[in-house]
Amino acid sequence: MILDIVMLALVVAAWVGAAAYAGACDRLMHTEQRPEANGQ
Amino acid sequence: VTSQGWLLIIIFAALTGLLVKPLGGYMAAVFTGPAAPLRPLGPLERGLYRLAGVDPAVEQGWLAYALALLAFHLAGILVLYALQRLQGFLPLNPSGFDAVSPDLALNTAVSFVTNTSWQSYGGETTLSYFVQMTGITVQSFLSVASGIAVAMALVRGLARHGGATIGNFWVDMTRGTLYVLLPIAIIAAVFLIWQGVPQTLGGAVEASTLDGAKQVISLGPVASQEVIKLMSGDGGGFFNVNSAHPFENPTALTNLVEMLLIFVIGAALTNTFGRMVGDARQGWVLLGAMAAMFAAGVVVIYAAEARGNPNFVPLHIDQAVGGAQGGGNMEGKEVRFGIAGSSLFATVATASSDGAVDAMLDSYNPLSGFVLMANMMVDEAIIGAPGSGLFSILLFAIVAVFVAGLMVGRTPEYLGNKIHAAEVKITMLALLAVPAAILALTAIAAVVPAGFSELGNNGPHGFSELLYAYTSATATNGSAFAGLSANTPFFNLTLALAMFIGRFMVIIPVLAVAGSLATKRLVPASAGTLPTDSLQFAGLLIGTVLIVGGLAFFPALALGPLAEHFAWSVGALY
Repeated sequence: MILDIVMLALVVAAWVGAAAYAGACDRLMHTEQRPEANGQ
Repeated sequence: VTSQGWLLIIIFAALTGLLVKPLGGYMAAVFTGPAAPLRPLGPLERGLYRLAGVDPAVEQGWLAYALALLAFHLAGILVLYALQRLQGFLPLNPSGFDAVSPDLALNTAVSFVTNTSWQSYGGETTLSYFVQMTGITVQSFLSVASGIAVAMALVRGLARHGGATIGNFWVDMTRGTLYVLLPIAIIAAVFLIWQGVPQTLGGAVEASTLDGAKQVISLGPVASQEVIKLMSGDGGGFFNVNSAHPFENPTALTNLVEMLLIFVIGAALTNTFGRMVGDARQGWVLLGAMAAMFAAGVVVIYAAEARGNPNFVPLHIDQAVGGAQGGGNMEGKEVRFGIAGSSLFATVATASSDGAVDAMLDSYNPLSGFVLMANMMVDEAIIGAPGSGLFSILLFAIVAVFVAGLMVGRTPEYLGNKIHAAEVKITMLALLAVPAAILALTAIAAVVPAGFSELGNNGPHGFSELLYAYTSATATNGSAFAGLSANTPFFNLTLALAMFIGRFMVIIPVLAVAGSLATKRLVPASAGTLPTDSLQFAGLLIGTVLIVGGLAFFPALALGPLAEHFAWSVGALY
């Protein structure tokens, strides 16, 4: 049972990390898409 | 090599080529048309949307699409984990299997949800029919449907100009499963049953051998799992030895059809892409680049295996082609498939990211092992799994136009989209996730006792076993090199991490690029635009794939299969 909780905690941590990664990609995109970032 | 062997390879390539256009056109209709392509399934599709509360007319931005995908697969992992842990209490368990251990259950759940199907377990000795059917088989369908959905989202991003949405994840999943995967799976399963693949809920049978000994012969719902194992780019077999087992792949004809099932959807999606961007030649260029890399791989492997093992010569083992044998390196291969059938299958299954095997890869010559690993290291750019192969080659295409733009001093363009720093940076995040995970995890496993103590061989061959395992997991391939005892907490957890990175750390940036491209205004082609529907671009694309793959992995490959090849050629064995 304890190992099940550990495994599930690992899964949840991975998914939180993935969602945060998606958020980071979104921020990176918006930062880079500003006109000054593209020399406009 | 034999003329029969070359003929098999040519027939396979011709059949794949013939199916690309009709299947590609059909899939374009599935993912772009408002009406259901198969009318009888229309009510089922609409019923599923009503049940799930999905409005199919509402599209999503890339972040909403990605979060829906993540939530869906999180649920998949939790369900598959629970099924394995509770299988002792669940029905259809004639062999009375107990719960799978927590670390193995996690590894298997991540494996099938990520479309990898790395198997640290033997199917017929670990999982009940209920878990195989409702867990493994279901996730094989869903994981590949999600890969196709992501590819369609990227294609929409490339094809649309000035929009903010890239499709609806739930609609793409439903349509891919209902209209593409299920119809082909049903037809192919009936074919396999006709050829001798079992489909039964009856338990194992006991037979008496000629010596009077008792032999337990495992059976089960094999055909239904086998077809989606092949079509999905998944590769997780019902039996431990996968498609080498006569109940998974009984005849030379099933071997050919299984290879087609592995390859054809991924190949046809290039045609779907061409149709969706309104220029069929764009799809043919991608397919041509993939086909050229595939052909190089299959020629090297077939030649290396047909040549035999030079270390057998002093032992007076006859490896020559003759009336009674096909010759070559038959160690670990099935006689009913021979050298050509095994070499082609191994190339197809590693290039496609499927991971099915009809021969034991550990017994292939080192040069063949090099190609098998290289096929996976190029990140599914050689056909790949359905969907993930297409989005991978499109990522390389973006890098290729960027490199070409640098060379001529212009802003790169692809299909009327200006490629800016945002897309290139995010594309590189996706392309670097795979080598980073493979190399870092292999290095860790090579120096910690929990890693190297499980190896079956020393020296470069042992290193290849480790490198292959993490490559296979991260590239969502799932085939095993053998020689590695992977069912340990260390390997189950680190390989699960590799599979997670290889799937989701790639898919998320792909969707971000799709979202970014969808917002771009159409840039008309000018004299400075690099034509991307030309042979020249196919060459540039191949160069980009090989350089990105080669630069990242060549040192590791030199330590493993290449070092072993030179040592093995002069009689040093490990």
